[in-house]
Amino acid sequence: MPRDEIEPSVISAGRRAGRVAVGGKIASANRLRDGVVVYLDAAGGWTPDVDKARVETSPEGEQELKAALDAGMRANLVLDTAVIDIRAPESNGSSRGNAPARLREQIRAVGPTVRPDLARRQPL
Amino acid sequence: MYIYDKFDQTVVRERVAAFRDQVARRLAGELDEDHFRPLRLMNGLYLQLHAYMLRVAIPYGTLSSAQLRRLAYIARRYDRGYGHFTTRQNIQYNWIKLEQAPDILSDLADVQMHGIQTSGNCIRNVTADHFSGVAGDEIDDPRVTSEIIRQWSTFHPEFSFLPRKFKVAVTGAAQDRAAIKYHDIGIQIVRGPNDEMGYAIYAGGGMGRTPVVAPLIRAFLPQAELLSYLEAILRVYNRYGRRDNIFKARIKILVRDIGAAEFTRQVEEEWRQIRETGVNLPAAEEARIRRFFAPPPYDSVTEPVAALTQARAANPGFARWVETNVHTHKVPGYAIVTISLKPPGGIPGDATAEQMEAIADLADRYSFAEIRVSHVQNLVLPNVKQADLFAIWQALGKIGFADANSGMIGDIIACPGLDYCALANARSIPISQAISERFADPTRSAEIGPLQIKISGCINACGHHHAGHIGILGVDRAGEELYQLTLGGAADQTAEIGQLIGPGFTAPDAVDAIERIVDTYLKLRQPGEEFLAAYRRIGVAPFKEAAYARG
Repeated sequence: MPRDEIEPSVISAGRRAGRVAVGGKIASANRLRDGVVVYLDAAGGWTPDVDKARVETSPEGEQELKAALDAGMRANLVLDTAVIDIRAPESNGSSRGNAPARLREQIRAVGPTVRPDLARRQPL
Repeated sequence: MYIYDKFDQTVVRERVAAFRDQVARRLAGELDEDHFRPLRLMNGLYLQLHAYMLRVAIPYGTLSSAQLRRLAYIARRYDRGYGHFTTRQNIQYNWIKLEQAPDILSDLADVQMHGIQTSGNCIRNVTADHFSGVAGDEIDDPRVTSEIIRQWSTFHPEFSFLPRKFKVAVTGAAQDRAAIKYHDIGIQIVRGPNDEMGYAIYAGGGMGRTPVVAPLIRAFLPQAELLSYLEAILRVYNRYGRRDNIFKARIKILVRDIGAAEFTRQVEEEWRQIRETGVNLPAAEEARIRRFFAPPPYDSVTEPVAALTQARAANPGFARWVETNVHTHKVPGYAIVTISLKPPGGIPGDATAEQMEAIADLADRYSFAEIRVSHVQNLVLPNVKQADLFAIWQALGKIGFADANSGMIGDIIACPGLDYCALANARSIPISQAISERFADPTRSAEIGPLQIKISGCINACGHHHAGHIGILGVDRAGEELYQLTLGGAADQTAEIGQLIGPGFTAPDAVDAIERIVDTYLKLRQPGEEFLAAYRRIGVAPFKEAAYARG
């Protein structure tokens, strides 16, 4: 059942990041004209590549992400906006790029796990 | 099947033109999302995880080969080469672009299709027994009743903004293949005391977070008075349904809260006031609609089909498929074929454009150009000669849809789950793939016998888990996908809600637990006893114990 006819569950789809350490926040949305998942990039544009998303780690930065999402909505460029968590780098300092913390957001970034042939990128 | 008249065609064409204008205004910034969203939903266009999703109505699951070819064309031209057949006998496309949606609706209108009544708080696309018109056990063809309801309900001004969505299902046989007791209104065609045709009416069923098996509210309704009685039910619901709380807005909550007897009393009272003045279909109009569903020109087959007997004897795989996927037809020498869209390890209900086209070709050649969609997410060729079964099975083998598993453990219902759905809590498809692979051996599947597994990725229950002999509900626990098991559910005339057996399992553990439950059944069953019957006789205890017994 799609969200548009919402009958929300008591158990949410991982609204929290679980036990994953959060390393920052990025701004996510769907593009209005084709619905493609996009992220706010450092230049203020919208990219489908999660690795090119602008990362913020401060409360002020998060407010800027929200403001950019609101502006994108008002400009009729995006919809279904959200600021989402990304994982912190591994303890050894290695990073595989911007990996969203929640499984739901990982699937949005990559594509359906059951159709790797349609993946937008390598699994995170 | 029903063919649009000029009114139907005009309605659909005008809707396409209106939506084209609305999309243009949205893209130009003249409409914001708050105003546009209900407009796109009225045409079946949702926003999901990866893109827009378009849900196309397939009224009572009946398709012509030309329509199926057009669905294949849309998959290839506008989507990513495939579509997903749903538990409401519809098809969904997962990768739709808003800017192309009006063109898609126009292409659908060319073949008398649309996305109307696939969303919103209206009377949704009516569903029916997928063996309508051909089942050997049928009293009357439920497609006639379903088409009458379709025409009555489309854009019905009084019922376009109900407290919540409203689903109606119809069966023409005592064997319920349409899960009518899980619908807001379930209609069973029955014969009255003088052998006249009429309906038994159930109301207030549903799945979701509050599963309810609908009570019978009228044992016999004369056939001619169907619409006034439905109108009385809808009026009582429209008046007293909870608009203040989305969780309590379905009719099942109203019926439960005031009780079936009081609900029935109110419906009967309303009906008394409108049965003379309200809408009932004139007999001539009923006869006009019925003519569209006249049987096709069957050949007379009087001899046993020797070729079928020989092919079964020579080919065990074909023999197994005939056992599970071929059903009794009301006309001698003919058969009904279920095309399983559930290959082991496959995605339940998915079909590529090429597969759809191949099935359309088979329908043209062998089944009077007609196909059905079942709520179990399979396709059906309703009118095939028994002499053609072997050729059909061989042709299905070439597109990967010749598995002998209809009604068996591999014939799993699964919602799109977290792989596609914005509401889901957990993935459904991967666990269905793991189960169908685990039980892929056709000999083992045949030994287990009929067993229905149904999987939902959230409590909204699009995957009908409450009604599964084994039901699986995906939940999210602190970021981890877990799967709760229910046992003993049923969707047929013995409808029952499955019992939750305890805490959830991880996906691999859930598959192992199901295997232990199945093994327990094999150990405890009496000769010829199917899973559900064994469960009902024995009770939950040994199955629960087996599920949680870890090696």
